[in-house]
Amino acid sequence: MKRYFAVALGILTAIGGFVDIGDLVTNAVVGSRFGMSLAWAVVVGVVGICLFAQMSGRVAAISGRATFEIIRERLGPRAGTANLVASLLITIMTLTAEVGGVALALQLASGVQPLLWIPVAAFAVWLVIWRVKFSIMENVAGVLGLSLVVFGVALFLLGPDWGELKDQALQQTSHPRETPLTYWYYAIALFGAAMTPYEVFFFSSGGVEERWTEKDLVTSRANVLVGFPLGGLLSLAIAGCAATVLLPRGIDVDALSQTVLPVAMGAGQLGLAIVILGVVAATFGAALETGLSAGYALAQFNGWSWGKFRRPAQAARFHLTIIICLVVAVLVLLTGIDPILVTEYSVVFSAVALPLTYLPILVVANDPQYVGEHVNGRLLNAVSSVYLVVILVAAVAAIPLMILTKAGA
Amino acid sequence: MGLREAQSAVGSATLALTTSQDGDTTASVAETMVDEAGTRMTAASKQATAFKPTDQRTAAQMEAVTQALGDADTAVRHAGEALSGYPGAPSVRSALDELKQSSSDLERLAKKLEPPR
Repeated sequence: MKRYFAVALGILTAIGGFVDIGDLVTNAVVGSRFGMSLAWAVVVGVVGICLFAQMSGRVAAISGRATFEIIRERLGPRAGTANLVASLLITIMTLTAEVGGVALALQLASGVQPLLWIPVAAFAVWLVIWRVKFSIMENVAGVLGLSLVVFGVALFLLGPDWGELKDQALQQTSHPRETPLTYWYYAIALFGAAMTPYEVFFFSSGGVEERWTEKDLVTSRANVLVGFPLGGLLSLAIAGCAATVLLPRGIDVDALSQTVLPVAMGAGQLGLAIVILGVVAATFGAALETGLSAGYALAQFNGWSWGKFRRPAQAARFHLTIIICLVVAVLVLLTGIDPILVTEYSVVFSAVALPLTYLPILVVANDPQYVGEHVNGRLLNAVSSVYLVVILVAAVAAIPLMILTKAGA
Repeated sequence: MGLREAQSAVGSATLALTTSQDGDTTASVAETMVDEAGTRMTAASKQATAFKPTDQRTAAQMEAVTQALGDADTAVRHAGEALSGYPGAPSVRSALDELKQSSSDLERLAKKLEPPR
């Protein structure tokens, strides 16, 4: 019974924890500009993150080692350092976007300017990382993030023309107001939003934090293979709400308030309160994960003592890294930069950096020295190799498309 | 030339005002949305100002765009004032009418000027 409960809780946490500021913003932007015509990109991204997380979770459970310990070992110090720098920069960028997202959500709840909420949000993130037990932190944020299910409820209450949404999803054509280049730029953005590297650093390091063993492989697989796809449905519901309410009115999403407004129109003020709670939980949870991921990456790479299972004094450099990253995020946000803009760039750069971590994990998941008999099967290897090509194409195309479309303008 | 951004801002302010009037949204969310629409209008105006006309025809078009953006900016500002509800502020109904007028002006102008993107 206890095991079933653990599996169910893990799945719920995975659903609630799947959506972060990148998913919230990108899906709403895409829904408001392209309708459901990019739904396929969400599906491709969700399958990709399932493959990636499943492999890295298995490696962590069997070898007891997290992503960056393995990256340094397999790539050597020089290539490993380049990998670390790129991954760390993307993770700090994502952390900045998440802290900004918390501040924007609190602004919606209170009417107080986000600049005042930024230091408060960052301090709360640090305090929780410092004081709260890993499992409590992960489960509370994930379960509260489930409030975002209200996007799905609101979509039903809005009573959209389901046939039209289905046609948009199947036609996969660019909206008349958009160009094919912006269509592909946002396809990569959605892919990057679903396959953010920090999710994998956090997932594999979390496996080590929670001392996964071979016995936990079933739980880990269930979390990934059930939780993430259901999280992906939430992403589609966000896009569906925007496609129903904002697209016909010619409103392009560039603020969080526009993302949640369709919920208010469908489910009233109660729905609005629930969605704001969900956005705070999702962005706060993701800020915890990205903050920890930055600490994990640097500490694991350098062989420092790391993890929340140790007392902070025993993992001082790990905690110092997190504090420095949070300070950087706050300083960037206090310049007045729009957190939504940071989010839009972070998801695209996530796609650019993805091969750097995906390839080493794919190699190690096939190495019996690390995973013993639990190496990838033939089918998994075939699908993972196809994804390697997709990831490489997305990484190569992202920057040129960003320049050509002026970041999707 | 900033028309698309202006249309989006006016649409957003209209939606904020409508949902606030219907009681679907809270005052803080509606006010935030209208504030953001105002910021977007400023960006749209900047974009229009940066556009340098090369002949008399485009100069005339620019004049029409500037006029429409100015009207839209005023409509969004009035929406903010209507939401704040201080004495002498325009009523929500008149602010909505102004936004709708501005929206149809922008749409007409956009159809005339912009090729499909």
